[in-house]
Amino acid sequence: MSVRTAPPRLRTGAAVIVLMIIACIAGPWLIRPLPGMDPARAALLPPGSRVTVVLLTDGAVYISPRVARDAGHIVVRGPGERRIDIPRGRIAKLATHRYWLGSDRFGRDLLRESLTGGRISLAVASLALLIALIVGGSIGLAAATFGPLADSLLMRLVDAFLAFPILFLLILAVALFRPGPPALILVLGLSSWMGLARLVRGQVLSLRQREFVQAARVAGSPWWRIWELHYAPNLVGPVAQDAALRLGDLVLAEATLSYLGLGIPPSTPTWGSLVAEGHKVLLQGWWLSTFPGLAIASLVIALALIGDGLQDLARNTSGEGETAPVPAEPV
Amino acid sequence: MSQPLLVARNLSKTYRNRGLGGTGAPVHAVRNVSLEIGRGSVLALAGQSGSGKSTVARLLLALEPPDTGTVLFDGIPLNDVSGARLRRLRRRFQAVFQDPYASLNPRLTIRTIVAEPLRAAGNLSSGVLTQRVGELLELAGLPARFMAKRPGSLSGGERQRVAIARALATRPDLLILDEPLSALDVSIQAQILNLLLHLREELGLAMLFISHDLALVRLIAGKTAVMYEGAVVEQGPTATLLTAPMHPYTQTLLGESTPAQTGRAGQLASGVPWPEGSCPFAPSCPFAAAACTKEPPLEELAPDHLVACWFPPGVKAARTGATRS
Repeated sequence: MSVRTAPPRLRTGAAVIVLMIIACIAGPWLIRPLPGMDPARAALLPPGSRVTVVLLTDGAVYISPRVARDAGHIVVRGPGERRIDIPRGRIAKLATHRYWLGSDRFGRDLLRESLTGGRISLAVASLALLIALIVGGSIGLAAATFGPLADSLLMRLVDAFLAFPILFLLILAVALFRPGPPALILVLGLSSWMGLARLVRGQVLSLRQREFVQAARVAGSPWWRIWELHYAPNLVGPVAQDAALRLGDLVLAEATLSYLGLGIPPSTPTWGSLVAEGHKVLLQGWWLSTFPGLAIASLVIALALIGDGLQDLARNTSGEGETAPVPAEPV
Repeated sequence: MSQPLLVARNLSKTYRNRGLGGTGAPVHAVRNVSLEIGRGSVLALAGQSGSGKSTVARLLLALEPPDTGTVLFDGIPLNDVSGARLRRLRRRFQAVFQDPYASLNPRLTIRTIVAEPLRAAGNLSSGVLTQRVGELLELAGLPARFMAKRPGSLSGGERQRVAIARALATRPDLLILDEPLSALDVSIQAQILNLLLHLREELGLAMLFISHDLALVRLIAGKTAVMYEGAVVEQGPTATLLTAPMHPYTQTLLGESTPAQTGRAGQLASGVPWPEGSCPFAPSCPFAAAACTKEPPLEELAPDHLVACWFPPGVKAARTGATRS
């Protein structure tokens, strides 16, 4: 498969995810607070606001949203809209910062906060997914492989976990560990592997009955070759599809828990905690909850697109018309 | 006389629901089936769907163990071998399955599919593999250029030829063909049947040919066994069995008598429950009598002709034991 033959939905979703990851990794390095900036002067700026910091040679600092320039002077707005003329010669440094997504109550740049939060949100969700894949995959494989007794016991375990209230698990984890990313990853991972276990078990059991797996056994292939040729390639699609959708769920779950204050402490920004912080001052700053919320929504939608795209892909490669046109039946 | 290539003795297989607390009635898929296939000869296994033919094939292929009974391949009991020894032995008996749309992994190329038994059999270089796969495809009537294709771009007949090429890869002595033609169009059926006849002549292959279509059985098999509800009810030379069938079920299959109980569209009903221990065909049998509450054993009623019926219609002398009860 090349990029050009991939289903459009898969391409779109993957492009969004890749852009988000790049932005989250690179963004907080590129967008830095201005030196000498007093955050209190930039509290609750609406999206698109600009702030200029003027450092004078004697060490004084002026912070102003608007700066007018003329020959030899610049004019800044001081407290109370007071006009201050500063001769060019006294200026050591002049820098402007634009708050594309506005700023929060503490004068932090929301874009930078969101990108930093995205790192945490994505990392937590991905690591939780990894745990879910490892635990769910192993249990599903074991249930399908080690006979009816193991199958029954492991599937009852799955049922038990499904019936277990996740909030209780969470409070338990918060009580046992310090609340923070590790505890949250563990709790999210351990509460979302059950679907994967069922999926893997079901796929393996149904693949085992497929005639091409029977044919491989008749051909005398050792078990690891049967896995390599027949099980693994046919498992990857459904599992990847499920994983993509599940990752979206995990991002939402992390956001929900952080919003509720059960996940990551508010001192560490995540998309969930940013939404939570923002909603306290929603009337003064609509942008604070909106943009992290939009980030969550776009990520989940992109992951859903990837999930659907993988489904399209599976249909295309297992169905008809893979290569050249069908030649006539040789007689 | 040398021993037969494949001997199956008293095979039985019962399926129960998977897991703990599995409920539902157990299914007796195969009941006390014994078969023999001589070197280079073709045995047909006939019977309607659900009669246990495919389960017999799976037991003979050692895809699952029988509950009771043994399978001897060239004198080696398959129950006693496992692991690498079983895999080595498997080279000598190969299979072609019913549905060529299901028996070829859609993600693999034809080359990988046909090469699979070769790889399992030993370390061959890529060049040798390609050459062997080309020869095998040619043997199965396909051009070597099909190697690069995937099953998705082949027709049903072409796919079945690929499955046959794969089965021939390790130069087996025995081919187990589980309804190899039933998924194909009639015109393609004839081509594949011709291919099988040709291979039988050319390679001296022994075959177990499983089919519900007695017209096809007539063309390929020297001997035929007819199964009903998991048991062989009649067995004999194909010519005799098809011209002078003794068991009422075989007669029904051949359209010579009308079943007492029919399912949809006048077809013979399958899965009609029968009382424990009685003849399974009794509820549908036009000749059922009091003695049929006991299941008849498979006995040789004519030379080389085995029948499991107390009152085989068309046979003058009723069997001993049946008249007295």
